[in-house]
Amino acid sequence: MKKNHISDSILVKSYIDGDERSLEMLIKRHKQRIYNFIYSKVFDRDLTEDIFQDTFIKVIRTLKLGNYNEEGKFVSWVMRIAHNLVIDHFRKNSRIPKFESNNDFDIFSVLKDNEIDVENKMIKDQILIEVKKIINLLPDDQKEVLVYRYYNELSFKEISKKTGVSINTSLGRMRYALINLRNIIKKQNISLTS
Amino acid sequence: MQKNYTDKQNFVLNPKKETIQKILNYSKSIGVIKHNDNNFIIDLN
Repeated sequence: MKKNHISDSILVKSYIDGDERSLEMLIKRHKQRIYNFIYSKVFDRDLTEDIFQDTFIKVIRTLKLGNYNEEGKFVSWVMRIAHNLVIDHFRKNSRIPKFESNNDFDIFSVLKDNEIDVENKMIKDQILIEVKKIINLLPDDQKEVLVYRYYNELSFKEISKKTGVSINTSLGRMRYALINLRNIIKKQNISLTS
Repeated sequence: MQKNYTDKQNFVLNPKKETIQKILNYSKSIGVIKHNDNNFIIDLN
């Protein structure tokens, strides 16, 4: 029986409290399982390295923001993040058409500027992903108004009915949502333009 | 001695040391601030 085995739960708490060595221990303990899980889906070593890194960046951000709930095993949570990133990768790739020009026909002779080309679409998709991440950082009441307004295209009258608050309160929450979004974008130095 | 299998069902692979170091460096390079009762990540560099 191993003595002095520190549980994942204690290491996570220790990391949240500021001990960076705890993160190192967690990674070393679980790296093989997570890495092999990703590789079993994508079968590409470079891609696996990228997704592994992105997985732990998400883990770090969630822990540091205080958004982690110890409801299950730490490693199961990390695997879910890795799994979702693998899915994101496949979704992005399936949207990118591959064209090849040959001597008889050049596809670029018919793709005009008024069509969204592949690169611009990728950039737009990435911007939308970043916007969603930023929106998720807002307080729940502000996020709710913003989502209803911009994603569901509801009027403020409809929003106030749905949320049970006055129109003025909905307007106020929207105003604060936009102020907070600007602050987040400024503080995190995010570029949302292509 | 660790063996690296190429069989699809039986991987024993590990991330590069550089990848792990990048992750650890990232963790040390960011901080958290509170604003309006919310926490936000900031780059300390």
